[in-house]
Amino acid sequence: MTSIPVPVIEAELVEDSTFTLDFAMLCTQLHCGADEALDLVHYGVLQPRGQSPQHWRFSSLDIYRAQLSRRLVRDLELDLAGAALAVELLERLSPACP
Amino acid sequence: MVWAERLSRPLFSKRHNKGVPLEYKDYYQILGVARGADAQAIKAAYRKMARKYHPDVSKEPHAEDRFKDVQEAYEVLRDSEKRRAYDQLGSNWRAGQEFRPPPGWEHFNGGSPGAGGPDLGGFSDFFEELFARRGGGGRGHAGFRMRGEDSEATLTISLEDAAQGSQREISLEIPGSPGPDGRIQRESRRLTVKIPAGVTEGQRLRIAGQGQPGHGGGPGGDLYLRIQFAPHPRFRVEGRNLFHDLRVAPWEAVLGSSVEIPTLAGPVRMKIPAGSSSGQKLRLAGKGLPGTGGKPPGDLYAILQIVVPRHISGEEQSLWQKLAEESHFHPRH
Repeated sequence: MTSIPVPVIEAELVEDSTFTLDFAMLCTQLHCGADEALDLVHYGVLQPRGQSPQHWRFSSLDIYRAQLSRRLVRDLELDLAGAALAVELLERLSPACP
Repeated sequence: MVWAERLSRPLFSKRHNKGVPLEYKDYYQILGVARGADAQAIKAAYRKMARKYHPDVSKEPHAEDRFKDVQEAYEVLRDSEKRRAYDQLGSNWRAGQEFRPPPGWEHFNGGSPGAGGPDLGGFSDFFEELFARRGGGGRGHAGFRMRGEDSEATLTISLEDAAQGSQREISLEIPGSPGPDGRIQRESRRLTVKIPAGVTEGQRLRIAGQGQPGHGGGPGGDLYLRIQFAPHPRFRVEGRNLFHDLRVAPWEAVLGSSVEIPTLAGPVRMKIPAGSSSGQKLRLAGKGLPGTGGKPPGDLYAILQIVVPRHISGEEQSLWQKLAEESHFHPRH
């Protein structure tokens, strides 16, 4: 019996505390449109640095928050305001996560 | 080989061997509703159960499995066609009972296969057996190109692996192509993941394209692995700092000494200052977890614990006695 070679894949470390993503990069990473990303910022799910969309910088923790809020909206039928609150409370409950 | 443990988001469930009886799932029991429950009651029950078992919020044991069942039950009972088809099976089945679809069921087309448990890696074999669309369509959406969803899993590694970097083999089960009967087959896939040195607990690793497969030729989503440290017999971890309980003899604490202490890179000797007490923290700079991206490494803190011998000889007894008489030390003053 021949064994199938197992591919070796480089894992990319996601630095949660580094604010490196601009608005366009954030939308690309989230595979979402600008409107959805703006809503996520306005409701407080995402917390960019910078004063205006041109100057906003996001961390990969924002990617996690956005994904978490999407799951909560979809599975628990929350609205974005509720999801933002839930994301914040969940972070307070387990500060080590993600 | 290591499963990506405790999947806060899924990899996939087991593959059903055809010919092996399935376990009947009582969707009404799962949602806690009566068989005659109306749509509103079913929705209310789903919301309640979803809040209780959602893997992102629940601390319940086996929350992910329970939530998957709840989603599957809701997927069937909220859809009038699927519910009617499910009800045709009758109420004489009990949850967990061995189940085979009745004769003629093969020809049933249960309407839209639905979202199929998005992000939870598909529904059960029972669901697949009853509702999988025949004829190759499966869950896909013909002509619709869509990127696969991202998946998340927790990967438990040792502190040593985190410090030095490592390779870990993980196993994923993914929906594959439709089989001859039109049902989606599940395929097992193994990957060896290179974990960079210096990861810390709670950080995430992204493995591009290894999440859920895309639809209609769309690219796969990404797989995120959240790092969790396995309990270590010698160190506790806070961020990049390590803490070690260092047991010392009373005379080592009083007189000062040089003792061996473990680090992730092997033992080193550490100087204990004279007059040290239990609970004091001594720092070995840079001997914690390594830093990444220009960040400094963490430190190793030795927490002194003065321990005393349980059994002493007669000579030791007299020496301690003499010390007690000579000493002017009053620990409670």
